[in-house]
Amino acid sequence: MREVKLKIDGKEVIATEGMTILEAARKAGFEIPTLCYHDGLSAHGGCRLCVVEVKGSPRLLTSCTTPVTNGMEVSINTDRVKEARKFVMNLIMTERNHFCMFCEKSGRYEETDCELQKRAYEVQIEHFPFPVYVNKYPIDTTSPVMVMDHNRCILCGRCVRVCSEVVANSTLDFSFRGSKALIASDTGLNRGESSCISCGACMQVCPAGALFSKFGGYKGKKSLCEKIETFCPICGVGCETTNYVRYNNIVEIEGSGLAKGNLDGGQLCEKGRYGPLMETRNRISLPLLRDSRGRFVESSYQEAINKSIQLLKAYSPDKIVFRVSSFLPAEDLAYIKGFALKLGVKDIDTFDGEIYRNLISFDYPKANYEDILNSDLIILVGGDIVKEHGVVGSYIRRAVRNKGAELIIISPAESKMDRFSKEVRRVAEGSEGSVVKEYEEKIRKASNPVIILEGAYLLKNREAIESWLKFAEASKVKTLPLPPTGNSLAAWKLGISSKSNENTESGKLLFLILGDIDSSYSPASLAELGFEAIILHGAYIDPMMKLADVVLPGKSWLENEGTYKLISGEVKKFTPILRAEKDAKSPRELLSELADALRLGKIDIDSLITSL
Amino acid sequence: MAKVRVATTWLECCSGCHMSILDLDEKLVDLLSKIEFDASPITDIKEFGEVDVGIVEGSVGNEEQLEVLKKIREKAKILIALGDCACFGGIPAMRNFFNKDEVLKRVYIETESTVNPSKVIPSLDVPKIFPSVKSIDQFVKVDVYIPGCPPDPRAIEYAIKELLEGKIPVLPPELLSYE
Repeated sequence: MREVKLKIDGKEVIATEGMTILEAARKAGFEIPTLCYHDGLSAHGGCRLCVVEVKGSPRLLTSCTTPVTNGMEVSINTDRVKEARKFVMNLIMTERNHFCMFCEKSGRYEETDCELQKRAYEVQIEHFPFPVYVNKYPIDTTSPVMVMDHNRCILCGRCVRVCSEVVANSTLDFSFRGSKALIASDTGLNRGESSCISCGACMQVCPAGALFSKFGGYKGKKSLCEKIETFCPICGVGCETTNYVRYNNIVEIEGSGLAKGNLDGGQLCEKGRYGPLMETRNRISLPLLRDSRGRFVESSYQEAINKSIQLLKAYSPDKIVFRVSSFLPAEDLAYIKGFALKLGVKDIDTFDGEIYRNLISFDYPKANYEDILNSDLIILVGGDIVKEHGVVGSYIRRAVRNKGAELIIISPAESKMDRFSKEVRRVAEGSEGSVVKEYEEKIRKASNPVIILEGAYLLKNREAIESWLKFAEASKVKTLPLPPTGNSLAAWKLGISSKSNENTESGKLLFLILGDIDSSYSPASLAELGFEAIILHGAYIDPMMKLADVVLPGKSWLENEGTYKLISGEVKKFTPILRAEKDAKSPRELLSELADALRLGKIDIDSLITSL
Repeated sequence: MAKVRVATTWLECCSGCHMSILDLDEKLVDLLSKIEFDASPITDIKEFGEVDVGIVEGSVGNEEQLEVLKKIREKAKILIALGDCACFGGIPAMRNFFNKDEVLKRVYIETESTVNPSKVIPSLDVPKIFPSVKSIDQFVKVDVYIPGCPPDPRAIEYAIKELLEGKIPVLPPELLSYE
C-alpha cells in the first residue's frame, strides 16, 4: 500500500492509497458529519452532507466517495461547506414528514436515537425555510417485527446496502424515481409478504425514523437505557450483541459487529434480535409443590428444596434419571454432571444427546464458516437454516451471490433459502439420506464442496444422516452439522450426553432441568415413561409440570452468567442482560444447595470449564 | 433605561410554550427588571401596544389566528417564533396529512367522546379553517426561532439575554429541540 500525503485544514495527514477523504480525516481525528455513510457498508455519496472543499476543484466533493491523492488540500469546515451542509439538511428535512415531535426516535441533542435529527441540531436548523412537502406515503406494518414508515424515509439507501452487502438477502431496493421514490421489498410487495427474513439489519442502520422495532418502539430512547455488550448464545453461532435494557426489560438488541469488520458483518437473525422480545411463554415465578389431593400449591423456596432432598434420598441412585437442557452455560452443565456423579446417578443425558451419539461415530472433515464462503458447491440438507441459524444462512447466500457457488437444497419443507438455489429437492421427512447417491458424483467433481446438516429433527434421525456422513467420511467432504442449541457442543464435550438411554425404563425419579427450553424437545415422550416422581427446574411454564411433584423456578439464559462453546469452537463468556427474580436460581445454584444438604462435598467444575 | 416591552400571544397550540416561559421560575423575576409585558395571556391584556419584542406560540390554521399574527407582527420590532408549532407547524400540522373535511368530520362527529346526534359541523360564529396548518414564517417575517415542544426554558432565557444585549440569537445544538 502506497503512502499518500495530504493536508486537511492545514494539517499534514498521511493516508494510504485507496482511502477516501472521509476515512483519512477520521483516522487523523477530524470529524466530518455524515448521514448515508455507514462504517460497515459501501459508500453511497447520496446525502451530500459530507461535502468538503478541495483546492483546485470548483465543486464541493463528497468526502465519503472521493479518494485521497498526493498533495491534496482539503478544507472540511469553511463557511462555504457549512452553508452547503445546512442547505442539504434543509432540503432533506422538508422533503417528507420530518416533524420530529411525533416520531418514535426523536429526542434532545444528547439523547436522540435519530441520526438525521442529530445532524439537523448540529447544523442548527431552527425552522424549515422551504415549504414542507406533505405528500402522504404508505406505512407498512406487515412485517412481524418492524414498521416501515415511508413518510420518514430519507432514501439514504443504508437499508438497501445492508440487505444486499451484509445479509445478502437483497429484499430491499429502490423503486420509482424522484419524489415518488420508495424503498421497496422485492418488487413492491408488502414487507410481510416479501422475501424478507426479519433479521432487522435494515432497522438497525436506519438513520431516521423510517424503520423501527415493533417491540422496542415507544419503550424509551436508547440513551435512557443501560447498555450491555455481550453475545447471543441461542443457536451457537454466538453473534456479538449490544443490549439496551430499561427497568429490567429489554428495549432493543443490536448486533455490535457492524462496523468492526467481523465475519458476520454485525448482523443478527430474527431469533437473536427479536426472540427474547417475542417470548410469549409465562415464567415459573414461584416454587410449587403437589399436595396430598394432587393439587399444586405455592410453597416457600425452602419447602421445595426440602421436598426435593426427601425425594432424592428416597430413591436409590440407579433409579434416578437426569434429563438436562443443553442450552445452559457450561458451568451449569459441569455442575449437573458433578452432582450426578457424586450422587451415584448414571443415567444422565441432554435432550439432544442422541445427536451427539449419531455424530460421534463418523470421522468426517469439519467445515467452518470460511469454507462455506469459499465453497463452489453447497449441499444444504434438512430444515430451515434461515430460522435456525440465520447468520450461517447469510454465508451461504454470500457464497452463492458473490462467488457464484451452486446451492443444492434437500429439504422436506419450503424455506426462504430456496430462491437462492438452482436445485431444490423435496424429500419426505426422514428420507434425506436416500438421495445421497444422486449427488455423489457432482460433489466429488466440485473443488470445494461443503455439506451442511441443519435441524434437530434431521440430526436426531440416524437413518437420515448416516449415508451423508458415511459419504463425507469416505470422500473427505467438509461437513458442518449445525447443533440445535447454543451450548450443545459444551454439553457434548463435557460428556453429559454420552450415556445411552437404555436404562431409562427402570428410572423412578426424574430430575428435569429445562433451562429455557421446552420439554417437548426431549427425544422420547418423558410423560409416557411412567416415573413415580418428577422434580422440574426451569424458567418457563412447561407441559411436564402436569406430572411434576416439585417445581422450582429457574433463571432464563438472559439472567444466567456463564460460558458457551460456539460452533466455531470459540469459548465465550456470557454477561447476563437481566436480573433474575429472587427465587429463580441457575441449576448450579440450586444443585449446590442440594449438594450441601445431601453432604455430597465440594463439586469442582473449574478444570472442566478450562478444558472446553 | 426604559424597559423592553414584550407582547406574547398564542395561536393554534397547547399553551405549553407559555408554561415554558413561566418555567424560567426565579429567573423571570430577574428578567422583569429589564422587560415589561404588554398584551399577553399572562397579563390578560387583549390589545397589542407598540412593543420591542413579540413572542408567538402556535401555528396558523384559521383566519382569526392569521389576523392576530399579522397584528403582532405590525406592532413588534422583533418577532420570535416560540416552539415547534410556530417554527415548523408542530402537532397541529399532523392534520395536513388528511383532508380538511375528513378532519372536521372526525373531530366533530366521530370521536368517541363526542355527542352530536344532528351531526353539525360548526361553521357560523367560528373562524374559517384553512385547508392546512402552517408555521408562522409562511405568513410573516420571523426574526428569531426557538423550536422545542416545549422549548427548554434555558433556550428562552438564552434568546432573551442575547436580544437584551442587542444580538440576534442563534441557538446552539444543545438548546435546540424538536420534540
